[in-house]
Amino acid sequence: MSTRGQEISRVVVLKLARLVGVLFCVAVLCFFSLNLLPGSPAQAILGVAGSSPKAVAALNHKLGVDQPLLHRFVTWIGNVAHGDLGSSYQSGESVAHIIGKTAPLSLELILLSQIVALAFAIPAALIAAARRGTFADHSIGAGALTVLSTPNFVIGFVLIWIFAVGAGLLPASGYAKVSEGLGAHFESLVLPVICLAAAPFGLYQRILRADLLGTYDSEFMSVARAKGVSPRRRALHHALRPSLLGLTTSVGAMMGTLIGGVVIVETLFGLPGLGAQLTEAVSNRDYVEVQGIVLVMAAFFVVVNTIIDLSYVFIDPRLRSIRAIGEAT
Amino acid sequence: MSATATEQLEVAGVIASGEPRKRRLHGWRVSELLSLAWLIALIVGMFALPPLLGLHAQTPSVEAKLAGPGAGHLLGADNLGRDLLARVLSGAHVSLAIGFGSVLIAAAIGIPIGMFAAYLGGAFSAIATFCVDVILAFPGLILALALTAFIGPSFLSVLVAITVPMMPVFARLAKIQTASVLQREYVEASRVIGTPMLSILRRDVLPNIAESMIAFALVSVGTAIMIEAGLSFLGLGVPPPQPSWGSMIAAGQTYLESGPQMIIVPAAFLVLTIVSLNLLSDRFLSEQGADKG
Repeated sequence: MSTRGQEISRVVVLKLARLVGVLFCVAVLCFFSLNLLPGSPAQAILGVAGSSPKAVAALNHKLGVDQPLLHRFVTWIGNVAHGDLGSSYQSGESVAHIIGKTAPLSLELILLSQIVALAFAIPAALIAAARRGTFADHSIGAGALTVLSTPNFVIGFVLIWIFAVGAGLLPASGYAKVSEGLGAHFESLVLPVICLAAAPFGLYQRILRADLLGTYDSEFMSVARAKGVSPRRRALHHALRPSLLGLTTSVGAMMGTLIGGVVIVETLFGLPGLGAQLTEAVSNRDYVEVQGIVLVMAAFFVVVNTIIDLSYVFIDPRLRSIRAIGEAT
Repeated sequence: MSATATEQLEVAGVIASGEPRKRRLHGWRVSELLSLAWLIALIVGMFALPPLLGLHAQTPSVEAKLAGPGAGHLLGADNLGRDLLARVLSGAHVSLAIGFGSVLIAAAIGIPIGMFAAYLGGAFSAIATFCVDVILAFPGLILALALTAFIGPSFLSVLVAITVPMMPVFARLAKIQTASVLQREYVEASRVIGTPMLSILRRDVLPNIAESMIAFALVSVGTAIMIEAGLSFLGLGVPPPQPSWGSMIAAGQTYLESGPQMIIVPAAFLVLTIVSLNLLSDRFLSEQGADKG
């Protein structure tokens, strides 16, 4: 038993080391992105026209751009390690503070839409797989492919049309804080969450259905059928669990799509989250803020995926041995 | 390299849909024929229709303001009275150029890197894999958004912003597929008799991974078109006056009730194009499944 414990801890250490390496390089890229700007950062922030050389020099000094590159980098990464992401040029507010203020709403949106997508995709996949090749299977499949192929802002407009303009049931935009009442709060999130959940729903349904079909072909499923186990029990108790690996993986990968989706959906529905903040920072040319938000989003994405990666080691016994990890390497 | 989340997703996404064979017309499903017809019609239409019908994407007209579909404007007109058919076809140039352009570049760079990484292994593979992991740490749209923000919006920056996050995905997929082909006996045999690396990769490996690469490329064209539309919806795409589907939809936001055609027309073109690409991609997958099964 001890060897297995050692193997697991070795795998965990390896994956965490890789995580640190990736995070460091992500930070390096975020830092150097400022140097992609045409001219100096100050010039880009102030705009090409209407910036006196004096103002540019002053701002360059304020941003610390007049220091040597390596020196700046060491200072910057030290600050980042302490949670200091610099301050917004526009408002003077600390970027870390802005992120702390806006990120909870985005997290709530992502979490709710993952739950909604899974809650609809799992039954849809179970039905489609159990009735393979029937009308039900084909129509669910066509639906999944359609929502997967539709950009979320188009889905957003369709929803606004049906629920807000047509039926007048739900608010088309605007946000109600939790302090304004839980009902109003969730009401303001219904359309954005459906909008975000659409693409993951489509993907999850397709992946789980395919994995379920693979499981249905295996011998123990034929045995269960021969024993006279009911179709419902076969689907829920026999087929579902061994078919979940692909789904778990795609939940992690979908985080990336959802982070991008949050940017568009928050802008569309006028929600004050981190995504809308990023769009605003980009259009204000507030590059320090853009840098900070992108860094935090990437870090969140990588950390979530590492956690999911690690969870396999505990969930699936086949992936516990070093050899299995080595084969995947 | 370990099998990370995204990697397994790509494999799952590409290998997932092993459909049973359906009714076919000379080997083609009806849905696939319709998809192909739509894409061909779109490409022919965007070149042929404007000169044929005398369409102009930029000519405003006061009387045609928010006109519905009719004889003068087949698909209606926008808030400035500009012809929507002309604009949506002009936007098709942007979407298709960026969609196919970014995928061609990403595949041309990514696939060889992945194949070499699988063949050479060792340090080259480790470094390539690590670079892939770093680029993939940025969610696609976020990386594209940051890149266009820092380079400044233009056709070229949108193309770069969409190509860069796509390259590592091709590299990763090519690496996995190449690794599995390299294990086959005839490749071993070919290695033993001293066939040089390049001709093994070109003659033995490439034909075997081509189908799944094409399938993935078609899905990616759809994804690229979707990201381009997202960027221009946020006002960070190809700058005006060039219309693009995303910016046309964004412009229609204010006229949701008085001129719904401003959103419906570009949205329909966008969705039809992406659905068609995904359906055609499924064809390559099920062909592959049929061969193996």
